[in-house]
Amino acid sequence: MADNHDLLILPEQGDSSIVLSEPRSNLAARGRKDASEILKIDIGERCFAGVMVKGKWGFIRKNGTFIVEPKYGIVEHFSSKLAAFSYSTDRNEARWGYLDLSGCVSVPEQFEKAGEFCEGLAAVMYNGKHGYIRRDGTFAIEPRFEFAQPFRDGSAVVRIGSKARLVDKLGKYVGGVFDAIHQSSGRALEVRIGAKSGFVNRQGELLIDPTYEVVRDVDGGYGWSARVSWGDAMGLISYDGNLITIAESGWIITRYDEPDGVIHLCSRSLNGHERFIDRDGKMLFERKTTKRAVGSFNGGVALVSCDFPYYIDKNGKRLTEDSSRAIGKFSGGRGIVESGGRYGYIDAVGNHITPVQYLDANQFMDGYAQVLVENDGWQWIDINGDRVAEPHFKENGNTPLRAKPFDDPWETRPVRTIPPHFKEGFCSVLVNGKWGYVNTKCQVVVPPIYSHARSFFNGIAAVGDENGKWGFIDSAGELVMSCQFDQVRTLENPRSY
Amino acid sequence: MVLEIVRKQTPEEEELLRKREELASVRAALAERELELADFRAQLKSFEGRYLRQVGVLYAELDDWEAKIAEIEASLKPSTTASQRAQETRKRAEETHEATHGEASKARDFQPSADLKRLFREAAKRIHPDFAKDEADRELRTRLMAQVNAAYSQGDADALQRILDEFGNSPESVQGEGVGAELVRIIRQIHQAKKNIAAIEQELSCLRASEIAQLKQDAETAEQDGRDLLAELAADVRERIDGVKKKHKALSAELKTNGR
Repeated sequence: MADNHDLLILPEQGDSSIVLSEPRSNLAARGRKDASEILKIDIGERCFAGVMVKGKWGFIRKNGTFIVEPKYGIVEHFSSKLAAFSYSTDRNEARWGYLDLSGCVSVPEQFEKAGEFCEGLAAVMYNGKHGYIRRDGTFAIEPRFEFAQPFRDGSAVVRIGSKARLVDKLGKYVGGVFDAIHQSSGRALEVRIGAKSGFVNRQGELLIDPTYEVVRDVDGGYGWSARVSWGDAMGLISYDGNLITIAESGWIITRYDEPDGVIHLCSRSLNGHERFIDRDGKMLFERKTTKRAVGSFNGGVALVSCDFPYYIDKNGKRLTEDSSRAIGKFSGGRGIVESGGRYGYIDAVGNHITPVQYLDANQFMDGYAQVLVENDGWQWIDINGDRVAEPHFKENGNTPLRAKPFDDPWETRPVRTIPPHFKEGFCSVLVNGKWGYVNTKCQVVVPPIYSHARSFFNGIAAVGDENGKWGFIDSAGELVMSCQFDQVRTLENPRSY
Repeated sequence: MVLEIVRKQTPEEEELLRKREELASVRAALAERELELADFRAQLKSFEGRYLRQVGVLYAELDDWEAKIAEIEASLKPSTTASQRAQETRKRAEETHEATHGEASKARDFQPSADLKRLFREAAKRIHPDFAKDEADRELRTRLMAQVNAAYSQGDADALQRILDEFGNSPESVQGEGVGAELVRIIRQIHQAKKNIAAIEQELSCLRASEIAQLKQDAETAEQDGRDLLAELAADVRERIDGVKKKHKALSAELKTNGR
């Protein structure tokens, strides 16, 4: 008899697919590796949420029993699976330590101040000086600074006496000594000596000598690190510390729409002009400054605000017809246009994505927009203008939640979450001032009876009643813990804690 | 006094009886192990399908973004290493996409009924190629057993019944076979069946040690703690996608600035 078992038994199709190909096998291995990391975070039975009772924080299991009775005065947010805490509720008097994800003390309270863990270290104040501790509470950098900021990209800003420096994780100083170092969300740090500013990177290397005066709007979310000036001239420093644009004399840099690379300049003279240039300084278009204000460019399009607003592209070309009014900022690659009391959407070159047909329309976000359809209520459409859900919300699948949902759009809008933000298949919705939940088919699964409603996590969501008390419901809408807590804090998304 | 003449069985005939009993027992054991194997394969296939649909697609998206990033980085700072890295990352993204969107991702949940299991056991006992009498019979049984496995993994009890009915019309034993020849055949069948039971054990061990089976085990353990491991894994990968998207955006802007 043949000695080849596999040949005899393996079918020609079907089960043989479980003999994994290399890519599938690798994919499984990858998932398993990541899963093992996730499983290390024990959140299930041990600790589900922090709850406040009579002004003190405790921690409960998923079944509602306390794993740690309420006793902490302050518990900060978790960072790297640890949260600073104190028994006192008075921050000035507090001694701080750290709790782990089970709500138990990991580092006993001993510090006058305690920051979040960043890149494995937390800045703390001990005996009046700042230093950095490891996760086990031991000092990685002994307290010797007047002030210490969190680590980022391997370095942190510290203050010694009246001077500011960068320090690495071994406590070694990197780069020069400055009067001040300003952190920003970019890769470059502004360093100041006297009244002059320059820029260094996170390794302390000088990118731009401190020779400029910085216009005080560093990192204001404008897509730059700073506007700098010298004499009458003005320049723009990018996030990575490069001087990317120098404005001609007589011009002021006012805005930089970083994703589109459009820089807005205004003439210093009153009643002058405004100019739009790209990052290379090339003129895109110039116009006389009028009451018509050009907003930020987004997706290559900007809204021109005036009595009859319209959209323009990066060359200043008008995208909307004369009869159409632009509504709001261009968002998600789509702009809203209104004509004759009806709304529709256009794309970045002015093509209509939907007819101008809706009674109301909201901006696109994350690929979805909410529109009000005549006789059909509120519904969601996707980026192509196609419906993505049932036309409107109906209670128990029968009665519309509102007979006239569009009498007053602000009051009667059935869903406040725009775009629909689903977690674990549920999205909280506001109906007549009360919160409930719908599923991905927009069917009401938890009736709107709560004053507050948070996202689902592990099949449980925190809800608040009209007395300001919090409890938890399951995905069937059953109250698994009655509204009894002053505050609750679920450990949503354990990877971020 | 009525005397009944009873023919005394020869030692060969007694041995044949014992071996037939042993064969029946081994057949049952082999069928049981085949069922276990088929069951485990189908469960794994079903879990893998769920994993690919829920998490695999996200890995494919993540890899695609990472490939895009590597390609931009190669444009920003051209070098042999950067170009090689971009190619490797793209290849991996393509592989992940292929693995994620193939047939395996379409596998649905598998929950075999008691009746389905009974039919499979019966089919394995009667049809298994180990119990073939000759080469032609073995060929027929191999074909039918493949159909049995496929029907089981699809939860198709009707198909299993049809296969059994078809096989029921096949001759069970070879006429005119002498005791000695039958004894030799049965001994070989028992030997082969035992070897196959051992082979199935080994295959089950290999399958249980596979990454997908280990992941399934992890998911089941997590489920006992009220956790949905695949959902958590998907959330984790989504976060990473958000991170690489931001990086991609920043690099794209840089690329635009450099006019490349």
